[in-house]
Amino acid sequence: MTTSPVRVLVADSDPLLGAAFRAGLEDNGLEIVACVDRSDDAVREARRLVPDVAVLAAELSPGDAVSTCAAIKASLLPVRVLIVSERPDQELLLAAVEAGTDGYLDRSGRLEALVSAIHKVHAGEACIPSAMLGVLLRSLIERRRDEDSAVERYSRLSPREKEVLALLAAGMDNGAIAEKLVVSRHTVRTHVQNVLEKLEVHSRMEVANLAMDFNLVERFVGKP
Amino acid sequence: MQQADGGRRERNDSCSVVVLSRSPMVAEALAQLVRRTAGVGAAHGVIGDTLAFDDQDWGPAHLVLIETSSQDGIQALAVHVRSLWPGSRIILVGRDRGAWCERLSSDIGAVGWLSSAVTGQHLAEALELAHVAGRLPDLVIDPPRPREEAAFASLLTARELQVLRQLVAGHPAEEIAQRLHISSNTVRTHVQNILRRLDVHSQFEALMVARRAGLRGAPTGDLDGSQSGRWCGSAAVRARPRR
Repeated sequence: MTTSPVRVLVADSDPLLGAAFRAGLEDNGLEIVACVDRSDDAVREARRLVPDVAVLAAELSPGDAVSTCAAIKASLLPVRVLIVSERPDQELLLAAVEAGTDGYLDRSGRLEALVSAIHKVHAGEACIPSAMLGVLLRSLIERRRDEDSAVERYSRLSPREKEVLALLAAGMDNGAIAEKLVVSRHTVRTHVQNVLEKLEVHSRMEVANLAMDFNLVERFVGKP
Repeated sequence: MQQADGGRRERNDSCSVVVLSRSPMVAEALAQLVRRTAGVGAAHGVIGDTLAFDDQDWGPAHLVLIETSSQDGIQALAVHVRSLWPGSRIILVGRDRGAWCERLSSDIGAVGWLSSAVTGQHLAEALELAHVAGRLPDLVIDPPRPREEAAFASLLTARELQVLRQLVAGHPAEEIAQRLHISSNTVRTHVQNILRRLDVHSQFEALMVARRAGLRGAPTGDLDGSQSGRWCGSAAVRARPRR
């Protein structure tokens, strides 16, 4: 059976490791179309060469592997992404999955584990270490629940309170909000109190975090 | 075994390298890279609580490459390596762009260290020099100084400078030939001329000189010389770095 080799882009912040992976993967029948040491080069080369799989080292710079993955995925090109980190990192895995990665692997395995992961994601399978899958699913479900709950609490706000929240999340203080909405500071304070109460949080900081975590403001823009 | 004047070249050339890393994947990949250097054989092992090897029949090692991102346990490892392969030469490959490699390499009596910010070609040159001369090129790379680049550029023709930039970017000769639409032989000639004009004896030294002068690789070869002044060093020579 003759099939053309899988075309791979290797991005590693350490050129020596990049060269090593190039050699190791080539000897395993993969075609390395590019080997880069910067995240911006990785995005550019992925768009230019459209490799089957982009293997991104987690320590990539100046943008990290997660944002690089998101940028490659945003191009809508048929490039699968595999993120490789030094050690198992559950938080990185969650962020990577949310950025649309097709696979994740740490370097504690043998080279053949990397080769088989590349073939797997190329075939369209998700590739996530089974030992990390439980925590990942729980985090995803938890995040979904938190999100539902945040949206539900947000729906309790009056239109005016939603306006206040948007300005608050944009980092304005009460004085600036009062000026913007052409009301008194005192009125703003009351609105803010009500927003805190309805969202069940205790500080302006928490409000801003909640709004940003779940995109509460952008998500409902234009919806009363 | 070093032979007298009439010694056959292939005999002097053959060199066995053992690559050690905490990551099996990295050890194996580095060993594959090392094997691409002519006349070099390589095995790999994993640094753990004990040293684990895939190949039980691995014979004597001339060079031992230790890839590490931390200093932990490296001293003990060096002692172990020496007991396994008496007379072997150790080279450290450090992840932190050399910040702590120099001291550690001198503490464990290594012939020198390399930063993982160097390219595969640099590694090949370093292995050769370490095997033949028992040292690494002891060169100092200061952060780029743009004015020096101009002075540097005046030593070379425009085409040679182009080739050198490609080398700095880490492209192998065949790739340079493709990129510049010239034959590999022409690339070789350019490289020879570059070495002569820069008065250096290896591509590795030429690259170090180029970096010291702040030459940027083309098009993607910026290794960011501003991060750290040095990319490699020799513990055996112990020359004082110039600032």
